[in-house]
Amino acid sequence: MLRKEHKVSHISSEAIFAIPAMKPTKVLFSLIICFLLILSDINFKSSDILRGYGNDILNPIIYISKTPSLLVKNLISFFSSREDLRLTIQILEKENLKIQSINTLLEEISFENKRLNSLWDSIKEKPGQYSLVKKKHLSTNELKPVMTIGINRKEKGYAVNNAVISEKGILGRIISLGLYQAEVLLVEDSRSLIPVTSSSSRLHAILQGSGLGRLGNLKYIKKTANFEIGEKLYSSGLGGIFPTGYPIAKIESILDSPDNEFLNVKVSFLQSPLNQDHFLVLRNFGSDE
Amino acid sequence: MNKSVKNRLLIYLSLFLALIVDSYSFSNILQFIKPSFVLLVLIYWNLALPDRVGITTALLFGLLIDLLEGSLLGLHAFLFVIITYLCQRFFYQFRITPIWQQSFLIFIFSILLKQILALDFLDSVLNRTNLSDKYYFIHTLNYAILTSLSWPPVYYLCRLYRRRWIKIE
Repeated sequence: MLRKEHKVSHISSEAIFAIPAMKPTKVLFSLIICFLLILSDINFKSSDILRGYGNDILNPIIYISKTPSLLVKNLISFFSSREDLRLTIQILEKENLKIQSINTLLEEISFENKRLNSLWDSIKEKPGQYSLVKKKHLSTNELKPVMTIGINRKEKGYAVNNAVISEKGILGRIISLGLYQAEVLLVEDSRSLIPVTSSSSRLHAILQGSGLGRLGNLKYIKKTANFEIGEKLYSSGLGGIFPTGYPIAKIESILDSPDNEFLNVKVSFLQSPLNQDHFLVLRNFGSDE
Repeated sequence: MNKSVKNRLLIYLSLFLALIVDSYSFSNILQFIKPSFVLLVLIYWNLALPDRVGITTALLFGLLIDLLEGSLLGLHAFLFVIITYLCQRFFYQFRITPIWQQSFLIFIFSILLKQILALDFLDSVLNRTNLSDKYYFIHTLNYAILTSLSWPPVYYLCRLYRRRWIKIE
């Protein structure tokens, strides 16, 4: 409390706080700034450059936030390996247990290897164009999910609109680049529109997301179109951003309501950024730079 | 160091710590319902030391959250400024209310905040300005419950921090 900003009660001798009210002009000015920022960024375009570098600045914060869990993980692994060693020394006759514990460890490693291999196998052509990246952060807004990945822009030459791929298919595209971070617009995002082809009926359509964990939908599908439930949707490559032939989603339901001009086709996405950490970025394909 | 500057730095430090907690990503549903600690800490400082924390702090941390979350630039800032204004405008009333009532008010704030974040200005879905659906509303309720439940521990923790480190003349 600044001096002379409080009086002392004559009855109880306690301080009577009198904080000067916030100036309405200041509040108004701040709100105008916010409005201007919102209006300038209404299409999420003007802040694209700022976001990439902003994420670079925020990178240490994200890193620090992960430190306690890393420490706990390392501590647990440290004590568990000590325990394993003690058991191995003490009970040599229980060789079987030791082999079992090693087997468990190997299984875990082979599982991780399998996942990385399947991710690498998903590459269609020119392996040199792909780089392995790690997830850094996922936004809390499930309706407009934005994922941040760690990159090294100087080394690899990443660009806006580079496709981000998981072992199950296309995950999204880079919308903003920093030096060490990039923001990815996910296919589940309602802002994302992707030209797709269906696997068996070979029909073209535009796929739009509705948020993480939600069913997406195919836009403007004529009632004569003969899509089938369960058929997979692949990127058609028509937009020039995503490569051709990567799986994206699967048709879940087709509803033909009489009051709608188009078919209501709901699809489920094949991949999710929630339980995955590693992805591939396809460089020099449909880039802006 | 000047005492006033030191106090201000300590307040900013607490907000940065809350930002670090907020930036932790979960790999499940918790990611969408985890409470916003920056908002809670900001509300606390607005109630405890309204002359030290103001619109600038709300604006700054709102913009940082916007960058972190990838939301529309200025949206969180706008909401934080409004919440700061409301807290400071009614802080005499808010401060003396019991903690459970404060939690209830934060519950209402949280629902409004989450619903405003679902607004869509791009017309991505035809004729819909709000992308919220049944699941989003359930997540909003869970978020609001978790945020309001987090208020008492955050309140007492921040009070402890203030009494221990921040010396007011």
